[in-house]
Amino acid sequence: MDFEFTAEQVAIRDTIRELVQDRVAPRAAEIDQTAEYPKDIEKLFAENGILGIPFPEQYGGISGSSVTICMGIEEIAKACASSSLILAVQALGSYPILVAGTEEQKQRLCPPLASGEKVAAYALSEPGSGSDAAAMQTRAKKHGNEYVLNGTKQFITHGSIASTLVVFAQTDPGADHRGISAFVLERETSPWTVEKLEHKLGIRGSPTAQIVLEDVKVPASNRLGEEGAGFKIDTGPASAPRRLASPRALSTTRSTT
Amino acid sequence: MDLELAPEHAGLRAAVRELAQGVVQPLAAEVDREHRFPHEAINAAAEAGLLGVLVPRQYGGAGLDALAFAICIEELAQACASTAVIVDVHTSVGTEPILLFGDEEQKREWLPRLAKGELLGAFALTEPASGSDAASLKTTARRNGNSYVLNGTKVFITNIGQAGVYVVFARTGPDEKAAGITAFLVPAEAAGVKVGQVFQKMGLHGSPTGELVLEDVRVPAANRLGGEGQGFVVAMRALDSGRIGISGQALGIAQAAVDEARALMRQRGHEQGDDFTLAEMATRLESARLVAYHAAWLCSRGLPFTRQASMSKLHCTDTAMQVALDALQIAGDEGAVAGSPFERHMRDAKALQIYEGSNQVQRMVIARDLLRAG
Repeated sequence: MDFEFTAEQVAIRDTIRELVQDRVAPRAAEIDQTAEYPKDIEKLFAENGILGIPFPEQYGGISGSSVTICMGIEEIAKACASSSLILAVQALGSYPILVAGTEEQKQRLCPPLASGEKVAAYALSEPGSGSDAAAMQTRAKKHGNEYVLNGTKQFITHGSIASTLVVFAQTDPGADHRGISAFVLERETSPWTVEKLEHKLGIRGSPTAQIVLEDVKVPASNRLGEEGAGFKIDTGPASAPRRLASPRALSTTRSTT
Repeated sequence: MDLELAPEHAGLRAAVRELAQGVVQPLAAEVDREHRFPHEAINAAAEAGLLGVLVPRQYGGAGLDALAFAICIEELAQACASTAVIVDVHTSVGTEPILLFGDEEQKREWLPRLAKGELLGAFALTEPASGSDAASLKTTARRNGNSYVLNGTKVFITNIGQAGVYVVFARTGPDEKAAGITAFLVPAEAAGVKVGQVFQKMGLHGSPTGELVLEDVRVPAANRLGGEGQGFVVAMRALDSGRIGISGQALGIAQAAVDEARALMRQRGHEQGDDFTLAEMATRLESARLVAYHAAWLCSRGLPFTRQASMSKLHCTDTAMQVALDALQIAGDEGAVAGSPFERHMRDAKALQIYEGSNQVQRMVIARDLLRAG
């Protein structure tokens, strides 16, 4: 048992800490007040390699461990909880690809996410299914070499600003949670509609969207894993970044002490 | 960062668990019911070398670190909290002051016997009029030629009547506060050492707690531990490590409560109200264990650990109390019947929030450290 961070982790933490104190902390109150997504902070994180932390080196990242990601989110959240979601949701939206994607999918989809050229999001919840994900209504029907998606996703963090969206949909509506499949939507070719943005009591600089999928076509090559594997992707290792939400809570308290 | 136990710690846990579940646990209910000292359990622990975990090999101990110690106490407490506190007090505050502050001669004289369990150790700081405010203690030690003569009364002394040697804190100087306090090793058989009242406690029935009365007790100057006036430092440092032991004890009680509640729920069925409680209990326990192991790890590394030891003691013992109450609530009627493990854990857990620095004192220590300049 060893509670010490590696020298690399300490270096990453210190770099993020300094950057965040210099550039993010002064913006925090304004971000909260205006409830506007801080595109400038996203750019700052991208330029400094922070969004590459969750990705293996061969896909353009730095192979940060869960501890490193957690630490990074914590450091950012100490200054601005909204900004911490930029890293947290990048990790959340990318994990399904890293965990369940084929080598071809990872090579194609990950580098622009690791560099921060693109932002990822994760679309699971629906107006009628929150904690009970298996009850989802979004459908994906196969037509030849592509799927056609229809449905509404609710409370999607960064759903409005993302360019890569992992979406869960029923491919076999009779099969309950075993009928759920996961897809990667690339906005240029599989555009979704932002129906509304929520007005929230906190984390106001991080947009939360209701998005509508109306006959959105997705190539079959963007399905993650087999048909019906979606629920496992959601509840398996890919769900780790969601639990990494705790460092945000942690550091928001810490910064007040 | 690596949260996996090293092979030596994992191996130790397995060995202690076997002994604790095989020998100690079967005695726990009876020890509690009869208010009797668990001799068989302590003898078995001594034979297995568990009374010398922290003592270096050259003095006959196992030479292990604070994390190993915490794990030992945790495993013992999961089986029987009384046995655990006897071993804990012996090992930490009863023996460690000699390890940390004793001279070579004192180490050679006392450590091998303590490590083997020929002698049990004990720690006598608290007095009727000075508990949390230990610095105002009244017991005196007057220098007389080559010896000291001690007079005073100590209370709430764990291992009373069973200990072979007491680490006693007494006033040697004119200073009325901390700077006038000196530590002594007082053999139980010294003339004038008497056991006063032995208390009936709500829990930890197998661990004797009582008054130590010192009436003109003469000890050689060679039994002075550290310099004159250094006693308060000895006490505070011993208590820092002691808090790691108490944390281990709390983790063991909490683990037993979680395991028993879980077994009961699986056996008789369960509803969501109880499911949520069980989830909460297990989560609290898991986080408490990490805090405790972190404090132990800092101590093992020789890094400052006072704040973390206090956080650990506070968090682990509050967790043990809450988890024991929750388990009893889940068990319902049958848990409240005298002799059930559920009500025993609840009674045993309470003392932990009070002794070795009450949890109010821990909060003071933590806050003082947080608010220190710099």
